[in-house]
Amino acid sequence: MEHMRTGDAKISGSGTIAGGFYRDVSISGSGKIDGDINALEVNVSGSAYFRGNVASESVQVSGSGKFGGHIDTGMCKFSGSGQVDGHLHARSLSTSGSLSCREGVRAEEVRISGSLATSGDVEAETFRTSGGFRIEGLLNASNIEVNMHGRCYVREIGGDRVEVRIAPLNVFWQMIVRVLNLVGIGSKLGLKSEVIEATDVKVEWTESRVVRGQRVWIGPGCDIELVEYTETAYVDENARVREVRQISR
Amino acid sequence: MMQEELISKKDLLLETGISYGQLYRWKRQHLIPDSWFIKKSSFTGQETFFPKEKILARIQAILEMKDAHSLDELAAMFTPTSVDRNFVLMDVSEAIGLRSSLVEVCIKVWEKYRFSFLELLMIDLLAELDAKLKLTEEEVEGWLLSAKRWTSELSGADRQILVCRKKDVMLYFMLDVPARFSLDQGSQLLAAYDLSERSKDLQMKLQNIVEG
Repeated sequence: MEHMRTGDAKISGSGTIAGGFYRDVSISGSGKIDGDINALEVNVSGSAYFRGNVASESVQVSGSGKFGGHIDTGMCKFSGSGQVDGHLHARSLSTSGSLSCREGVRAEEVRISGSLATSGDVEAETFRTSGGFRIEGLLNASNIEVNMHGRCYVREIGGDRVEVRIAPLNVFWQMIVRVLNLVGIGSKLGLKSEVIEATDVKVEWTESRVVRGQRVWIGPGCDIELVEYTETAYVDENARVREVRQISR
Repeated sequence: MMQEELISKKDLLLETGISYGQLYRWKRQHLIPDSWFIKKSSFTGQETFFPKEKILARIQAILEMKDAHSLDELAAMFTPTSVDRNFVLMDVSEAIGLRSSLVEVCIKVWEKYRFSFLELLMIDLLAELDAKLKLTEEEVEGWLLSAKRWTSELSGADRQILVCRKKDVMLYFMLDVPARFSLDQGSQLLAAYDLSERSKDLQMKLQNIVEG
């Protein structure tokens, strides 16, 4: 395919690029991309609207990027706002802004220090966040590390190791949660989920109907209806758990 | 559709001895098709169930093969799109059992010699249909044109292919699984294929050429 990449496409100011094969696509200012593009690098600093699908080695958006189709890329970085109407598949995805994706997100590594919203599933090897997120589907990752700075919702979590805690450095948020926990609604401000299933689960400030795992650790501020475990379970005295059941082999 | 016996996720883990981590990893790597995760409401809210026979066989297969093959290789065996290799049709036509006249038609319709796994899956199915139903030239072309369109849109093998005949016209359908369908009056169902099953078989066939 290399020979088909005829050149770079550059917009500084405002303009429109036709779809096709490119080496680099860079937009500083405002740009519109009319068809599917296949490029080595896509850079946006300003605002851009990609009408079609984007396939490339890297996609970097600092500013605002709107994607009408899918993104398939290696490295994907958003430090502004991003909106993807299709799916987002990348080797690594990091966002320090706000990113919303209508269909699913798949990446080996996901790092969120802003916010992520999707109405689909998120699949990753490692999923690390120190921000907020709203995932309407399943969050499926080997390693899930959630440092909550705000409200987090995920319908279902599945994986190998899940760790949810309140961001230790965010003293302000911690105080609010602790105060509200005194009146018994602390878990309302943490992670909200329906089902959490993993080999190792360690959660705090989490509201969930069911938590299942081999080794389960339920920390302070949790509100959980049913905990099922096979090996070990710990429930903090400041957690509310309606039922704990050991499942034996 | 036939009612299959189901097994809950909890019982599945107990029976097979695998962990949640493994189950979710295999799902992520498409070793277990999404359509096998069946949500049903129960007294603790929603529970996930699986078609018992299929999932037990699949997990058995994964456990047996996982030492000899990497997970990526396994994924390639169970799902076609992760195989990004291209195949020259002439090299593999024998393994597929494709008549040489059909090889020519395929090349003509697609206007290329090298085919992706997914395209090959459709061609493999053509060979099967041709042997089974003795397709006419028109029907072959009809199949290939549909296949060409489908493969450009298809992103997984979690599909089913139906072949029907109404009077003298052959009809091809691609369905998401699990699908419930009923045919109209006068149509006759000639064959139905599960793409993910066939992709496993095709993978085996192709493996033989590479190794042999």
